[in-house]
Amino acid sequence: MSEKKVLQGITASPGVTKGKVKIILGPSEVGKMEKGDILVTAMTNPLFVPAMEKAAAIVTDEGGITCHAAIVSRELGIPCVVGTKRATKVLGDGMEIVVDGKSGEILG
Amino acid sequence: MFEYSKLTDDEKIEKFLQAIQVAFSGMGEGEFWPANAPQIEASFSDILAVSIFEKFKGDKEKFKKALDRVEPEVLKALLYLGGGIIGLKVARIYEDYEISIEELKDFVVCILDSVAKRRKGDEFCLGGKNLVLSSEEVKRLIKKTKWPAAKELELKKAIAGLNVTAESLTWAIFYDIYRYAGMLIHGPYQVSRGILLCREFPDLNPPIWNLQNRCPKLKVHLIYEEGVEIKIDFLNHQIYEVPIVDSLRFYSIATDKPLKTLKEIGELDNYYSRLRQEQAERVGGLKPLEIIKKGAKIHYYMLKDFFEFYGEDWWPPKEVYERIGRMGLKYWKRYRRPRHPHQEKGLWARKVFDPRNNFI
Repeated sequence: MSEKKVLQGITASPGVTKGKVKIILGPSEVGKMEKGDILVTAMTNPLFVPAMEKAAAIVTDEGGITCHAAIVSRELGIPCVVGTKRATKVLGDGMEIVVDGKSGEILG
Repeated sequence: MFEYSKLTDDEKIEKFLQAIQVAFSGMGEGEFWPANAPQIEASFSDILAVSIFEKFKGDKEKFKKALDRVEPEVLKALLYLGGGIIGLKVARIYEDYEISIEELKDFVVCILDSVAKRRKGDEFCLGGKNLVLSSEEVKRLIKKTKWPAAKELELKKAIAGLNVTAESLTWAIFYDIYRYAGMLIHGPYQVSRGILLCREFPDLNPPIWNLQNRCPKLKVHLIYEEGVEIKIDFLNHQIYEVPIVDSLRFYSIATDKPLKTLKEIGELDNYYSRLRQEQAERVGGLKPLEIIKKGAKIHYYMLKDFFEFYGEDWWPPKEVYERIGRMGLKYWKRYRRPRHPHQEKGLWARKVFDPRNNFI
């Protein structure tokens, strides 16, 4: 796969991982998440934790280095990029992407 | 570096604003769960803030004693929540409440002083530390505690999972914006075996909800390997530059008893996970006006020890509910979206929390 930068966000938890996108727009969709998926959402909250625990990486539209997604991902040791503004619009379920938690880049 | 006791009042305020700017910049753009602070507080912030300020004006020495009863993280939060600087500015601007710039400044410095005297350096967390314990107290803690070694990755991950669950439970109980009522992160402390970081959850069963949490207190004290970089900002957020799960070396976890094994830690995590899910669903199912009313209760509850020092009930007064009822969802709609892009958030916060202006 030739990977191009599709999004830039704020680095929240370092590490690089590749996986399939799962867009979760609300708590009612948390059940869609499978282990190893990349969780893509607008912003997380405590109702998202079961999905976050299954995620290989987390990408959000909003937030900064101390938002819920950033704190949880650092604790779990998984890559996280926040504040991309439009990840839930640009990415789609099943897309293979690379999340680079050090540069804040999303490649696809 | 600076010595707090040698700072002038204006210098203290400048340091406070610097700390606020750094911490707010880190939060980025986005909505808080289940609501943004002004969505909840705009209806009653002036009522709460004035009730606190009147006590300051009435008897400053008694006020200082009352402040000293309150957890410093809660006092810090008061400064940037509705019941503090913003509420008093609102009262001055919209309710013609008489409070001079000088009085508001003195009020803020009085709160900062109460925080500073219970911190052992880096009072504004500008050096990335939240020092609750002195080096002697740290030594005593290390000596009196049993520190099992964290060798297996499975155990390290289970402890990280418990941290996530306990922190998320705190957010579900106290909302994102009032989480300081239920948790305290302090350190990092240099100890002989590495870097100590303390997470404490002193109140996971407040009378605001019918949680019936049988483990309402939790302490998670962890020693990481040398060289791990951990920072804590003024809003008590922890930031690691690199993942630290695998760097854990020793641990001490306790509810009303120490938890040592993977099984015990896993059981507590499962129990808290269930509570977190139930509580988050409870909050998620509330109507906006109920979220506001509960938010008012949480904000007042944070100051329980303060009000009780004065022999007062901590529950919000009738006036607060009347105001919330009268205002309805006016502010809920107005403040649904954050007003400031990420890049400007820190600067905006610096201006809005400056007690020396009229900016809100």
